Amino acid sequence: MSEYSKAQFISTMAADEEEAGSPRPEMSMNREVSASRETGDPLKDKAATLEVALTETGQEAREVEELLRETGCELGDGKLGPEPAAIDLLEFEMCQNVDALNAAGVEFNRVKSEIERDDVGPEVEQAISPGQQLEATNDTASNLGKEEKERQQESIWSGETKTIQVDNVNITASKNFSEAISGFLSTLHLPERLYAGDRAAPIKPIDVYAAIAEGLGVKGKNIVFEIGDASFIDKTEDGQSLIVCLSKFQITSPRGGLLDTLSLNSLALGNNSGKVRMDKAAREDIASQTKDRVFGRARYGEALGYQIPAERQRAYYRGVNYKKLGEVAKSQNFKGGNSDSLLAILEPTVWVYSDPGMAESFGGKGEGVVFKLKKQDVDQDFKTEPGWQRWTNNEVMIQPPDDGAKEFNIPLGQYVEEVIVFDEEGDKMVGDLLPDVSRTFLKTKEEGEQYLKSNGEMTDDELEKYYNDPNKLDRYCRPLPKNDQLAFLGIDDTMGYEECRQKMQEKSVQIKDEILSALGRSALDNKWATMYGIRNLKELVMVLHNHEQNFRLPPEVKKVVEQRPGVIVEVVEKYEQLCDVERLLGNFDRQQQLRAAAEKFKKQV
Amino acid sequence: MAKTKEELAKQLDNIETKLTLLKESFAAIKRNVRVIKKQVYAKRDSKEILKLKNKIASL
Repeated sequence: MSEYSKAQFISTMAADEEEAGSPRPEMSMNREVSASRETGDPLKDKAATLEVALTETGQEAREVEELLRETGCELGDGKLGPEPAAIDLLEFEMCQNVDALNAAGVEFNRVKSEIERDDVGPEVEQAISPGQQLEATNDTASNLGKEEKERQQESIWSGETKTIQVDNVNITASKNFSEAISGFLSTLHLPERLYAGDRAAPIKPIDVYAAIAEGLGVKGKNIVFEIGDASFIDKTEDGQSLIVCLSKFQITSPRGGLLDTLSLNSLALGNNSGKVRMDKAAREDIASQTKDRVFGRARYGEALGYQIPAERQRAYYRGVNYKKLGEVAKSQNFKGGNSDSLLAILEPTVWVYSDPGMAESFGGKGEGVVFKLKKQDVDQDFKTEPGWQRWTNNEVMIQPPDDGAKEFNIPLGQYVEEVIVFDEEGDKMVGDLLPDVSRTFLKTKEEGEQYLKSNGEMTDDELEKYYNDPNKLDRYCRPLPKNDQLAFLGIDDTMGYEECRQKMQEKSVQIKDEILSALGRSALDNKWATMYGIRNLKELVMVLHNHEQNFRLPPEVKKVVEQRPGVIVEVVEKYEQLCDVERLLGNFDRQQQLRAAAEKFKKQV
Repeated sequence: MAKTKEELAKQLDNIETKLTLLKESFAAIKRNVRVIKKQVYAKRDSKEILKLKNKIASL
């Protein structure tokens, strides 16, 4: 249980003296289940108690997140000193906590469903040796694999598949999702939990999965994607393909940046779903390879660090799970089953989702209908369940009738705040169903973008421009430094621009010293620096640049160069490093000048 | 082969342990937020006091 070690969760910061003796937090798990909910089955009762505890912990997590955000805003104006950095650290710690909570939620759902199936085997009290235990575990894993796959078959979308190529990897996925998956895999994503002012390194999921495939020893460059109610990863029995099962949201969110990088990384490490049947060595190997692939760009100085602008926050969905909402729809004789926390009604193709990514995916393609619900009313009438599915939102989606939908009634009219329809059929369908509810008809992408704008959100194009406009590099986007010592988890959360800048400035001082040293520090240091009034790296660069442009080195330098022929090579090398430093400092024009000068210098030498 | 009750109970115990740790972590974070806020404002106040003292001394 290392990933959940106490040390990881308990802040190492100084404890408040006033509260040093305060009691530990009350554990709701210790409470008894209310009499009305007791089933007589200790296992079910325990699960019920734990469900309450999970809900409460989720609520508490949101409170802590809110507290951190408020405190960050309160102290983050820079006028009160450097302490807000400590708040950043706490936020990072909280991110890890939320990840762990989500993982616990997923694990709980799985255990609960097994308990509810009521087919648990007899208790085994027989002592087994470690060897036997290993064998038994493998057997269990194997059986669980079959069992899990059977279960997945019940819940995942099944239908016609399509094979596409992404970065020379064959991707087989449901036909309906192949486009979304292709986009998901090949798009650079930002971590999910970003707030205004955060910086992050982007991640390309295909890199992660390709690395995992390599790590698992998958022979072919094939990945089979399944969409279901759990995240797991495995390889096919023939060893030719990697199987990845992700939630719909992870794949279909079109807004970009909603991919939870840490979850993906956790998945790679096998500690998210618990379904990766790998030993520790294999996991470490995969972690290493994944790190190499994922951070390859950063290692070669090609990664970009984005600063998330304030407007971006609107593009993030943070909501709660409206499980009860799904149950209401289900009670209207819709067929289907629970897909994790959501209700997936496959027949008659009415899908009720609290998943914005899903709704937007279809909406973006001009299909279906998206219902926006009155959040307060829903909260009031349906006990919402916070926690693990924090990405869900209060939207309901109906697939268009051409997929075989029959006439149906949605008992949600009173909760609908707005209906967005994307085609004539959807418009008619909703008009018949809910004649009193006003509808927004978005026929074209332009209309959709206008709608987003009028709601204060950035369109996809705007977001793209926002991040890629070179004129905004100074404000929003900075290259990350070359770094071959990147931590696998958290680089994108911990390495902020200021930190990069600081490191680069430290590095620039180091390089300056190295250059002076290469040029013969003892002879040049004070005299040369004094002669040219060199006070900092930039001035040194200027001096070097000017001299190299004219190829007239000062006599002292010439003397050293003549005495040490190799020094020119050293200088050129350092020169190139300086180019990198300038680039990393954001002085792109200067970098180009230096680069040109370095080329010229090299030719002349 | 389904999991035994014992295995499921153990998994629930593990989840409970994780939640316990998480709750402790939440409490620690809350405490630390308060400590940080207190430190920040104390520092600001002490600077203000120092300014006032200097001002008084210069009178």
